[in-house]
Amino acid sequence: MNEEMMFMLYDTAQFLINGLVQGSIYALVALGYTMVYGIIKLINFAHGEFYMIGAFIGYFTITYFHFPLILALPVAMLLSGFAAVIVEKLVYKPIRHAGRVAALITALGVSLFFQYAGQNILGADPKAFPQAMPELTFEFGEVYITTTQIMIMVSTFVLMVLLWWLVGHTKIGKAMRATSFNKDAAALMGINTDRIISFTFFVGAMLAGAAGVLVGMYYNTVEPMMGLIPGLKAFVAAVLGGIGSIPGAVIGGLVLGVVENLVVGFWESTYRDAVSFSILIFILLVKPAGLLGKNIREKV
Amino acid sequence: MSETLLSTKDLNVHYGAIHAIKGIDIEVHKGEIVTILGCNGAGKSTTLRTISGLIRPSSGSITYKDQNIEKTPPHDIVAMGLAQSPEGRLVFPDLTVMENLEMGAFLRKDKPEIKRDLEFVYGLFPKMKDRSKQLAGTLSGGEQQMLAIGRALMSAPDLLLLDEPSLGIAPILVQAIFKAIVEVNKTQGKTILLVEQNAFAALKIADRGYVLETGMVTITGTGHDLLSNEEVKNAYLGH
Repeated sequence: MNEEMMFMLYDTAQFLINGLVQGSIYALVALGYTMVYGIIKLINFAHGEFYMIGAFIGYFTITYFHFPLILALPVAMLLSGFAAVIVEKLVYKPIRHAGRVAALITALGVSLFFQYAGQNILGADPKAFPQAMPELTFEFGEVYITTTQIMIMVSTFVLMVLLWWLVGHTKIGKAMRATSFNKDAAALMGINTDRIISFTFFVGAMLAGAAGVLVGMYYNTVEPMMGLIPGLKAFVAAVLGGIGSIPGAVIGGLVLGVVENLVVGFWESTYRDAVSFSILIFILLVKPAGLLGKNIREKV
Repeated sequence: MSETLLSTKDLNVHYGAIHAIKGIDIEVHKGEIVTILGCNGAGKSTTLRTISGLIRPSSGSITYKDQNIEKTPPHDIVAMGLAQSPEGRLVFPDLTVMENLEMGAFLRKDKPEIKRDLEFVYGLFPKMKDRSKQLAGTLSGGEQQMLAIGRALMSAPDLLLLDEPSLGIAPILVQAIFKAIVEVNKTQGKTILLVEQNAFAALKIADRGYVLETGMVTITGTGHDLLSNEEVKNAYLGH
């Protein structure tokens, strides 16, 4: 093998690793999108804000309270989850019967509210995320992987296994699936569907909050508008995988992360977002149900 | 007459501008099988959905076990021992037959009794036992109906609402289902409120019946009387 091909291979491996790391973040955020959509058919465009909230809680608890990462991460997850439950109760629940367009516009409003309230309270300038764990770099030939990258992939994997167990093997998980199939049928089982809906928001925002902390560590910076683009990307990932499908969100996130990094590596970084949103348009045109989504006709 | 388990008084339901239920009075006594007959759109399903708390009445009252339940959330109504097998069955397609039945017992913690009720349902519908590990979405319509009834029974109800159990089902299974309904009533002492379009089958097993037309009760009587009632015969029995 000549030298040029060797470097090509190293490059590809490096882009794949970076892509899987980025994709893990997208997948964590996409899971919340897809779960909330699955249960109340709402595209929660404010979902990216819980990622921002999680990142800031990570920033504050580590910088000011000197929390170790192992503590900061669950605290950020819980508080992001509670923030989502409050939003659901105060904003989404009262308009649940007002129609899907009203809910969608409300979600955009909630998103803007958090972005600008964040800028007002915390300041618009990016803040340096503290070094929460020692950063080591492992070398494999010309391919590099950092401890932060490993941490992101491992945390994502652990959270996904927990989610799989929660949804598939617990009573509340079955209640979530029942509610997502049909709210009336679930209520007739004695399931308090309002509580299940809140719980779904809670779990989704916990995952987004975790992604926020992980991304803060990865890019060493947090700012109030940071949820906007990753939020939209996660939406693309959820649609790509098939919105409403949990494995779909994971696959969609990973695929999107890898594709973006291949675009950045082999083409131009400026085309990254254009390619992502082109994927959204392409999927909606060609296979709106996504990779793993079921083709369900709307009931008339 | 035995004690009243459920009653509605001057019950009115609106869907937006549509007045779907216009002042219905229904009584169900403990141990009875009561049927509500009527055409499509007469308001039969709406009545059951309102009793279960899925729809709020615009006025009137619903009393169950001497308590007003017209403002009670549906999950609390289930907890009071009032279950429903809904129109269209609505079994959970991605859960197995067994898991569907477990969902029926969602609020219960009495493990030995749950197991006993599960065995009763399996005895009532042996097909459910054979298919307990199968996804409910793969069952035939008739089997799904059996599952929906079994699932409702798993909440250990005192009153069971059944919404059109014969709809879209092979005649042979309709017979099996009606036989099961009678068995649940006779051996388990469960009170049953049955909504049906299959008037003949329903009246044969019912103690009493109500005929619903465009949201109002127009005829009422014992099952036997209604079977020989000229109006019922002409309109619903196809004579």
